[in-house]
Amino acid sequence: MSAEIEDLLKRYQNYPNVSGIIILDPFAIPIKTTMEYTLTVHYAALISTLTYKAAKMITNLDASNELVTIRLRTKVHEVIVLPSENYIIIVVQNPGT
Amino acid sequence: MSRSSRLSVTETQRKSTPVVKKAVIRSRSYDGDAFVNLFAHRGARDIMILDSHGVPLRSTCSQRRTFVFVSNLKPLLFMARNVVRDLDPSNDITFMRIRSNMGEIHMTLGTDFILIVVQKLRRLRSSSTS
Repeated sequence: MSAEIEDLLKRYQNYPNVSGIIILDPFAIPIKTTMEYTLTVHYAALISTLTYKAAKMITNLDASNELVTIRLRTKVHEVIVLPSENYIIIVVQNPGT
Repeated sequence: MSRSSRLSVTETQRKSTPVVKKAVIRSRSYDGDAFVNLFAHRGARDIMILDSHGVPLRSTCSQRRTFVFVSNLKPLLFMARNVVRDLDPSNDITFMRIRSNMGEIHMTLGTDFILIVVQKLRRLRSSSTS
Protein backbone atom coordinates (compact mmCIF):
# COMPACT_ATOMS: atom_id res chain seq x y z
CA MET A 1 0.00 0.00 0.00
CA SER A 2 2.63 2.55 0.95
CA ALA A 3 4.84 1.56 -1.98
CA GLU A 4 1.89 1.95 -4.31
CA ILE A 5 1.24 5.45 -3.02
CA GLU A 6 4.90 6.34 -3.44
CA ASP A 7 4.79 5.08 -7.03
CA LEU A 8 1.73 7.19 -7.76
CA LEU A 9 3.38 10.24 -6.27
CA LYS A 10 6.58 9.82 -8.26
CA ARG A 11 4.66 9.18 -11.44
CA TYR A 12 2.66 12.37 -11.30
CA GLN A 13 5.45 14.49 -9.88
CA ASN A 14 7.53 13.96 -13.00
CA TYR A 15 5.10 15.78 -15.24
CA PRO A 16 6.01 19.39 -16.00
CA ASN A 17 4.02 22.25 -14.49
CA VAL A 18 2.66 20.15 -11.62
CA SER A 19 2.44 22.38 -8.56
CA GLY A 20 0.71 20.09 -6.08
CA ILE A 21 -0.39 16.50 -5.59
CA ILE A 22 -2.78 15.20 -2.94
CA ILE A 23 -3.74 11.58 -2.47
CA LEU A 24 -6.88 10.88 -0.45
CA ASP A 25 -8.38 7.68 0.82
CA PRO A 26 -12.06 6.95 0.04
CA PHE A 27 -13.12 8.83 3.18
CA ALA A 28 -11.47 12.05 1.96
CA ILE A 29 -8.62 11.88 4.46
CA PRO A 30 -5.31 13.04 2.96
CA ILE A 31 -2.71 10.28 2.87
CA LYS A 32 0.06 12.03 0.96
CA THR A 33 0.47 15.61 -0.06
CA THR A 34 3.07 17.93 -1.52
CA MET A 35 1.15 21.06 -0.56
CA GLU A 36 0.70 22.99 2.64
CA TYR A 37 -1.44 21.22 5.23
CA THR A 38 -4.28 23.74 5.59
CA LEU A 39 -4.57 24.07 1.83
CA THR A 40 -4.55 20.28 1.53
CA VAL A 41 -7.44 19.89 3.94
CA HIS A 42 -9.35 22.61 2.11
CA TYR A 43 -8.82 20.94 -1.25
CA ALA A 44 -9.64 17.52 0.17
CA ALA A 45 -12.98 18.60 1.59
CA LEU A 46 -14.17 20.52 -1.44
CA ILE A 47 -12.87 18.33 -4.27
CA SER A 48 -14.00 15.08 -2.69
CA THR A 49 -17.55 16.37 -2.33
CA LEU A 50 -17.53 17.46 -5.96
CA THR A 51 -16.14 14.09 -7.02
CA TYR A 52 -18.85 12.13 -5.25
CA LYS A 53 -21.51 14.34 -6.76
CA ALA A 54 -20.05 13.94 -10.24
CA ALA A 55 -19.85 10.16 -9.88
CA LYS A 56 -23.49 10.07 -8.82
CA MET A 57 -24.46 12.29 -11.75
CA ILE A 58 -22.67 10.09 -14.29
CA THR A 59 -24.46 7.05 -12.94
CA ASN A 60 -27.76 8.93 -13.14
CA LEU A 61 -27.28 9.68 -16.81
CA ASP A 62 -26.36 6.12 -17.75
CA ALA A 63 -26.30 3.25 -15.30
CA SER A 64 -23.43 1.41 -16.98
CA ASN A 65 -21.23 4.50 -17.13
CA GLU A 66 -18.48 5.24 -14.63
CA LEU A 67 -16.56 8.38 -13.79
CA VAL A 68 -12.93 8.26 -14.89
CA THR A 69 -11.56 11.75 -14.38
CA ILE A 70 -12.56 15.36 -13.80
CA ARG A 71 -10.70 18.40 -15.04
CA LEU A 72 -11.42 21.83 -13.63
CA ARG A 73 -9.76 24.56 -15.62
CA THR A 74 -9.67 27.88 -13.86
CA LYS A 75 -8.06 31.20 -14.67
CA VAL A 76 -4.94 30.46 -12.65
CA HIS A 77 -4.45 26.71 -12.73
CA GLU A 78 -6.02 23.37 -13.55
CA VAL A 79 -7.20 20.74 -11.09
CA ILE A 80 -7.28 17.14 -12.27
CA VAL A 81 -9.13 14.63 -10.11
CA LEU A 82 -8.59 10.92 -10.66
CA PRO A 83 -10.96 8.84 -8.56
CA SER A 84 -10.14 5.15 -8.35
CA GLU A 85 -11.17 2.30 -6.12
CA ASN A 86 -8.85 2.96 -3.20
CA TYR A 87 -7.68 6.53 -3.68
CA ILE A 88 -8.69 9.89 -5.02
CA ILE A 89 -5.72 11.60 -6.62
CA ILE A 90 -5.84 15.37 -6.98
CA VAL A 91 -3.21 17.01 -9.18
CA VAL A 92 -2.93 20.78 -9.39
CA GLN A 93 -0.98 22.04 -12.37
CA ASN A 94 -0.28 25.35 -14.07
CA PRO A 95 -0.67 24.69 -17.77
CA GLY A 96 1.27 27.02 -20.02
CA THR A 97 -0.70 29.20 -22.39
CA MET B 1 -23.48 5.05 -36.40
CA SER B 2 -21.70 6.06 -39.54
CA ARG B 3 -20.40 9.55 -40.13
CA SER B 4 -22.89 10.54 -42.80
CA SER B 5 -25.88 9.37 -40.80
CA ARG B 6 -24.61 11.25 -37.76
CA LEU B 7 -24.35 14.41 -39.81
CA SER B 8 -27.83 13.90 -41.18
CA VAL B 9 -29.17 13.40 -37.66
CA THR B 10 -27.50 16.63 -36.63
CA GLU B 11 -28.97 18.33 -39.67
CA THR B 12 -32.45 17.17 -38.74
CA GLN B 13 -32.13 18.08 -35.09
CA ARG B 14 -30.85 21.55 -35.81
CA LYS B 15 -34.08 22.49 -37.58
CA SER B 16 -36.26 21.86 -34.55
CA THR B 17 -37.61 24.81 -32.62
CA PRO B 18 -35.53 26.15 -29.74
CA VAL B 19 -36.28 24.72 -26.33
CA VAL B 20 -37.13 28.07 -24.73
CA LYS B 21 -38.74 30.80 -26.79
CA LYS B 22 -37.59 34.30 -25.93
CA ALA B 23 -39.01 37.57 -27.14
CA VAL B 24 -35.69 39.41 -27.17
CA ILE B 25 -33.80 39.13 -30.44
CA ARG B 26 -30.22 38.09 -29.84
CA SER B 27 -27.41 39.59 -31.85
CA ARG B 28 -25.52 36.31 -32.01
CA SER B 29 -26.52 32.88 -33.11
CA TYR B 30 -24.68 30.09 -31.34
CA ASP B 31 -25.79 27.20 -33.48
CA GLY B 32 -24.68 28.24 -36.93
CA ASP B 33 -23.92 25.62 -39.49
CA ALA B 34 -20.14 25.75 -39.20
CA PHE B 35 -20.23 25.48 -35.42
CA VAL B 36 -22.52 22.48 -35.23
CA ASN B 37 -20.97 20.73 -38.21
CA LEU B 38 -17.47 21.20 -36.83
CA PHE B 39 -18.42 19.72 -33.48
CA ALA B 40 -20.35 16.90 -35.07
CA HIS B 41 -17.42 16.06 -37.29
CA ARG B 42 -15.10 15.81 -34.29
CA GLY B 43 -17.27 13.39 -32.38
CA ALA B 44 -19.62 15.65 -30.47
CA ARG B 45 -22.88 13.89 -29.83
CA ASP B 46 -24.93 16.69 -28.31
CA ILE B 47 -24.43 20.42 -27.97
CA MET B 48 -26.43 22.50 -25.51
CA ILE B 49 -26.29 26.20 -24.83
CA LEU B 50 -27.64 27.55 -21.57
CA ASP B 51 -27.77 31.09 -20.32
CA SER B 52 -25.77 32.12 -17.29
CA HIS B 53 -28.55 31.02 -14.93
CA GLY B 54 -28.74 27.53 -16.36
CA VAL B 55 -31.86 27.85 -18.52
CA PRO B 56 -31.41 25.89 -21.77
CA LEU B 57 -31.67 28.08 -24.84
CA ARG B 58 -30.50 25.90 -27.72
CA SER B 59 -29.79 22.26 -28.18
CA THR B 60 -29.06 19.79 -30.93
CA CYS B 61 -30.85 16.95 -29.15
CA SER B 62 -34.45 16.46 -28.12
CA GLN B 63 -36.11 18.42 -25.34
CA ARG B 64 -36.34 15.38 -23.12
CA ARG B 65 -32.65 14.56 -23.44
CA THR B 66 -31.73 18.20 -22.94
CA PHE B 67 -33.79 18.28 -19.77
CA VAL B 68 -32.12 15.12 -18.44
CA PHE B 69 -28.64 16.51 -19.06
CA VAL B 70 -29.35 19.98 -17.74
CA SER B 71 -31.06 18.75 -14.59
CA ASN B 72 -28.01 16.63 -13.81
CA LEU B 73 -25.26 18.99 -14.93
CA LYS B 74 -26.54 22.33 -13.69
CA PRO B 75 -26.10 21.65 -9.94
CA LEU B 76 -22.71 20.13 -10.67
CA LEU B 77 -21.64 23.21 -12.61
CA PHE B 78 -22.63 25.62 -9.90
CA MET B 79 -21.04 23.42 -7.27
CA ALA B 80 -17.77 23.41 -9.21
CA ARG B 81 -17.91 27.17 -9.49
CA ASN B 82 -18.43 27.45 -5.74
CA VAL B 83 -15.56 25.05 -5.09
CA VAL B 84 -13.15 27.14 -7.15
CA ARG B 85 -14.32 30.37 -5.54
CA ASP B 86 -14.01 28.84 -2.09
CA LEU B 87 -10.41 27.81 -2.68
CA ASP B 88 -9.37 31.20 -4.02
CA PRO B 89 -11.86 34.09 -4.21
CA SER B 90 -9.95 35.81 -7.00
CA ASN B 91 -10.03 32.68 -9.15
CA ASP B 92 -12.86 31.57 -11.40
CA ILE B 93 -13.67 28.43 -13.32
CA THR B 94 -13.51 28.64 -17.10
CA PHE B 95 -13.82 25.06 -18.31
CA MET B 96 -14.81 21.71 -16.87
CA ARG B 97 -14.38 18.28 -18.33
CA ILE B 98 -15.87 15.07 -16.99
CA ARG B 99 -14.63 11.87 -18.51
CA SER B 100 -16.40 8.58 -18.06
CA ASN B 101 -16.09 5.15 -19.59
CA MET B 102 -18.24 5.85 -22.60
CA GLY B 103 -17.89 9.53 -23.25
CA GLU B 104 -16.88 12.97 -22.13
CA ILE B 105 -18.86 16.02 -21.13
CA HIS B 106 -17.23 19.38 -21.77
CA MET B 107 -18.66 22.47 -20.11
CA THR B 108 -17.53 25.98 -20.90
CA LEU B 109 -18.61 28.68 -18.47
CA GLY B 110 -18.67 32.13 -19.99
CA THR B 111 -20.08 35.31 -18.58
CA ASP B 112 -23.12 35.24 -20.83
CA PHE B 113 -23.73 31.58 -21.51
CA ILE B 114 -22.79 28.03 -20.62
CA LEU B 115 -21.85 25.65 -23.42
CA ILE B 116 -22.16 21.91 -22.89
CA VAL B 117 -20.75 19.44 -25.40
CA VAL B 118 -21.34 15.72 -24.89
CA GLN B 119 -18.75 13.69 -26.75
CA LYS B 120 -18.30 10.01 -27.39
CA LEU B 121 -14.99 8.21 -27.28
CA ARG B 122 -13.67 6.59 -30.42
CA ARG B 123 -12.03 3.72 -28.59
CA LEU B 124 -11.58 2.80 -24.97
CA ARG B 125 -8.10 3.66 -23.76
CA SER B 126 -6.51 1.81 -20.90
CA SER B 127 -4.78 4.86 -19.46
CA SER B 128 -6.95 7.24 -17.50
CA THR B 129 -4.46 10.03 -16.96
CA SER B 130 -5.57 12.19 -19.88
